[in-house]
Amino acid sequence: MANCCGGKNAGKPISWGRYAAGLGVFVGYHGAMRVLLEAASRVSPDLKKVRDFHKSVFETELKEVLRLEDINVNGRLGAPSTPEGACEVNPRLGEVVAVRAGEAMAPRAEPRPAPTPKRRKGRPPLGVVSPV
Amino acid sequence: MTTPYIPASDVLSSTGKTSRIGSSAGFPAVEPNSIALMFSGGIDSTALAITLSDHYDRVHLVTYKNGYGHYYHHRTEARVAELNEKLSTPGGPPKFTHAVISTKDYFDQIVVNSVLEDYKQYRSGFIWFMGCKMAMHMRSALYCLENGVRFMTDGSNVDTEEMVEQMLISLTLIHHFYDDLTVEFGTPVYNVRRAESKELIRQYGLNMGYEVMDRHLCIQPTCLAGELYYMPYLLFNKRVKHDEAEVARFIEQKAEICNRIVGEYFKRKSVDLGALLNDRRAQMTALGPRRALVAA
Repeated sequence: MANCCGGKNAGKPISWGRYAAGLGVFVGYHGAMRVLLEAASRVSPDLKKVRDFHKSVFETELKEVLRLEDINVNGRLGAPSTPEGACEVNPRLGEVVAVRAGEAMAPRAEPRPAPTPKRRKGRPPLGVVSPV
Repeated sequence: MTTPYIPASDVLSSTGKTSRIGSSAGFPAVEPNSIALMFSGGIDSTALAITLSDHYDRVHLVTYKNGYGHYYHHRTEARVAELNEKLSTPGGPPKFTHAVISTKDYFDQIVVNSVLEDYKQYRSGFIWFMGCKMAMHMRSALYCLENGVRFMTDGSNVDTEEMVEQMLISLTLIHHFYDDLTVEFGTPVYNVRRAESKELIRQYGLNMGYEVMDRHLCIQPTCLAGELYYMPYLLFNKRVKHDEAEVARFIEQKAEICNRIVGEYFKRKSVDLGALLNDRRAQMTALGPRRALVAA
């Protein structure tokens, strides 16, 4: 899950070319948004907090991208720890029912686990991705 | 603690009635075989809509607009038209009803108004997206309560679980939220491979949009904030950092705001929420246990 591997493509190697092109898109898109929010917040002061929020997120992300944090350029971090970046299946699983039109379909993988969030009093255990 | 703000009307467009509740109308009868689906028109929700049409007499599609860089909702409307054309019985009523609803005022109260304080607390941009989705889920619960809909679902899928709102922890807590409001929520295509969903859509000859890097463009609304936030993951395969404990804490915190909005929403309509929930529970008990979404 996202917490363990950060997405199915997380950690897959990319080339320097892709990194450079990606950096251009990243800075260009965020930069354009920064300008847009700056202008919009002058017209509508309510948007100042949105502008400042975007600025904070952008700056944090940019620093991480420039430090190559969690970015596997040219395989410098090795292969992802699990095949294709997939997370290991947790054996404590709740039932998942998957269906498609017209026929029953077996679950794709082992049933997946019910995470154990803090529970409120008296609430029964829950099958996470329960069928409707 | 301020009283939540409830807009006079948040329905932007609709192909059917969006509320069957009111001070004089009594409580709506729970429909035995209908379901509501949070619908964007993308791959997962379209495949799910097709699947649901096989199992339910009526599918309520609900689409939301958060008011912050959330555009092109006409794409969803085009998808609904396609679905009705392909899947409704000729001459009969449309299988799918569709409502486009603004969640901006709710989103503002849940996250936007406090976004800087929340960011200081959680140190991650996920708060924007989780807050947005919570506004949508909250409004979906209202929709179900107002229309006698027992089941609620969405197209959450393991293949896009890097998105904070599709993490198992998020779906679990959202399930609890619905549960308290007597709405039965599930994500039946969570473990269905996207390739199978795509194949299903192709079988029905529906628009697939433009395929770029496993994404299908121009078939659903665009969320500028989402594009920006997930860009490092998409461009650089950079790990998305969503700490489960922090996500859970955020949801629990914001669920309280959602519950206050729900209470105020019905108060404005002079509806006793407790009585409505009791009435639904009694009706649902009479209808019997929930039917699992499995093939006939």
